[in-house]
Amino acid sequence: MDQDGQANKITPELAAKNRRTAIIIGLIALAFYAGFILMNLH
Amino acid sequence: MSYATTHDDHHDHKPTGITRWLLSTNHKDIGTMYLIFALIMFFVGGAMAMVIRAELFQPGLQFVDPLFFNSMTTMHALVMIFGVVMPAGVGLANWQIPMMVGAPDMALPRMNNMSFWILPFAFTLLLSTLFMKGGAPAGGWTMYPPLTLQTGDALPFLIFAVHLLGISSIMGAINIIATVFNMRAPGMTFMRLPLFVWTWIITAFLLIATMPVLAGAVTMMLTDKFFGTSFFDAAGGGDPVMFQHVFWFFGHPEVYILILPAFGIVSQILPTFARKPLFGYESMVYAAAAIAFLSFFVWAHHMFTVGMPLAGELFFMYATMSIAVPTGVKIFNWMATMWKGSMTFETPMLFAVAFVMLFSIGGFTGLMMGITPADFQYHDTYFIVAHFHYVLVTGAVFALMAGVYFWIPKWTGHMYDETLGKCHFWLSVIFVNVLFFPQHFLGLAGMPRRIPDYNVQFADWNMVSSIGGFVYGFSQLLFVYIVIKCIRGGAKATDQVWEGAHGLEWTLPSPPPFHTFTIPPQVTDATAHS
Repeated sequence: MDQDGQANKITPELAAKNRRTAIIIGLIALAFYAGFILMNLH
Repeated sequence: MSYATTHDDHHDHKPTGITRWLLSTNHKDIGTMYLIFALIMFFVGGAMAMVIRAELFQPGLQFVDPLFFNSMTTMHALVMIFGVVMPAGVGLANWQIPMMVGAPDMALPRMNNMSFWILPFAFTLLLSTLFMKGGAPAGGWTMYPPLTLQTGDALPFLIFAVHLLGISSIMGAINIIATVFNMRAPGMTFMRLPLFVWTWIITAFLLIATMPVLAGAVTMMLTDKFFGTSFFDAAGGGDPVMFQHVFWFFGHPEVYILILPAFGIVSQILPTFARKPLFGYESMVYAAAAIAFLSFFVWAHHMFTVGMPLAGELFFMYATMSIAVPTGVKIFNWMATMWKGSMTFETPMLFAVAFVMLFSIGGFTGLMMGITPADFQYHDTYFIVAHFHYVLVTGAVFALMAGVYFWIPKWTGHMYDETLGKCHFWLSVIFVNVLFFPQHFLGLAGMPRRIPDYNVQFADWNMVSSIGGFVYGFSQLLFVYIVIKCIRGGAKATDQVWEGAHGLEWTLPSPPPFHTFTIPPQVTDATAHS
């Protein structure tokens, strides 16, 4: 947040960035979950 | 300067009634709920520990049947790990991280609400198994098949609860990562972050990497039980030992998920009460990261006795030893921080100093068991029980207690009762050692873990251990009294609270307003970490 001296608002851009971060990390976690199960399939 | 004192302070209204808590998106309220939940579960898990110690007070079966005893050991572990240490750590993170990085709240407040409210449902599912046909899970918190597959109606409840706890943890971790990466105040560079924030970022990445592995393991167990697969069933071409590998690939990093935030808390407290900056800040960050990285390469030291190739045993033994290096860096840095400091010993400092000494005992016994041939002797004895309780009780729980005493004047605006706090500390530190230290002797003498009855040769130390357990357990009621008394009143806390405290959170009023840092603070070296 480079909004020195301005109100510490959650701008739409920042909210979108937070959502993007959450989705990316969530997908990584999901990939680990599915990966470990698939790895154990014979 | 108080950054929270802004023109719109009079707009600092908060919701009232039950909706304030049910629908909360405020990091402070959610942090409070996490901490209260953890405290309640501390007594639920503690009551189970009392049952265990009462049964072990004397040889022979006194109070409970063996199956229920096994349920108690299993549920005690699950409750204490997933219901106490992890939620308490997340509670402290919720309260402190936004205030420490100068953010107005967590990055994803509604997800924060969901992360918390999943917990009561998950534990209702888990604890309801105590009343089910076949009893609560009794195969150990490690849930090894085929033993755990013998669980009665409780098995799907256990598995679903573990899934829910995993989802909650992952959402909490995502929130912490997003908050620290995206919401830091101007000037709050990564190398200015307080150590507590650093240890939580690293913990969050550990959670993201390992909780899905646990979820995968229990999903496979579920399909083995109910859908005819044979992931871990040798009769169908599966391998039960594979479960142990997958479980401990989660389980060992989990140990660091529990202890890294504790390292962070202690790294905040020692400089404050030594009135010196933390010695070797950068090396502390790199050491925490190194511990987390190495934790992915040591899992099989939990299963040396299943039989594995010599090369595997050697690899996991040396990898385990190598974790002592960054851990040693941390211990020596904490000691150097205190060296020639103007130390005072308020309750948080007492708990933090006890942490450094007693966690080191747990660390050293861990090294002993990391030596493969020695582990063949110690494995599944009371020595391991003593080891992990030194790490998790005098380590993680002591640090959490220290953190609560350290920050509660900031949260409530009142100083806690120092005399009672010190009474709580001395009762805890004396009797926790009476409780766990004799268990080293029992283990070395060959007493197996997870048994409700034992040979008479183990009677004396078991009695000592049980007495320690009862006094330690009941002395925690004093902690509840101190916390309630502090919430209801007490001497007014200043904004800085502690003379040696540095960092953004101490620039806020005590208690901080409902919404903080409505104007972003400008962080400089002077206002950054202590």
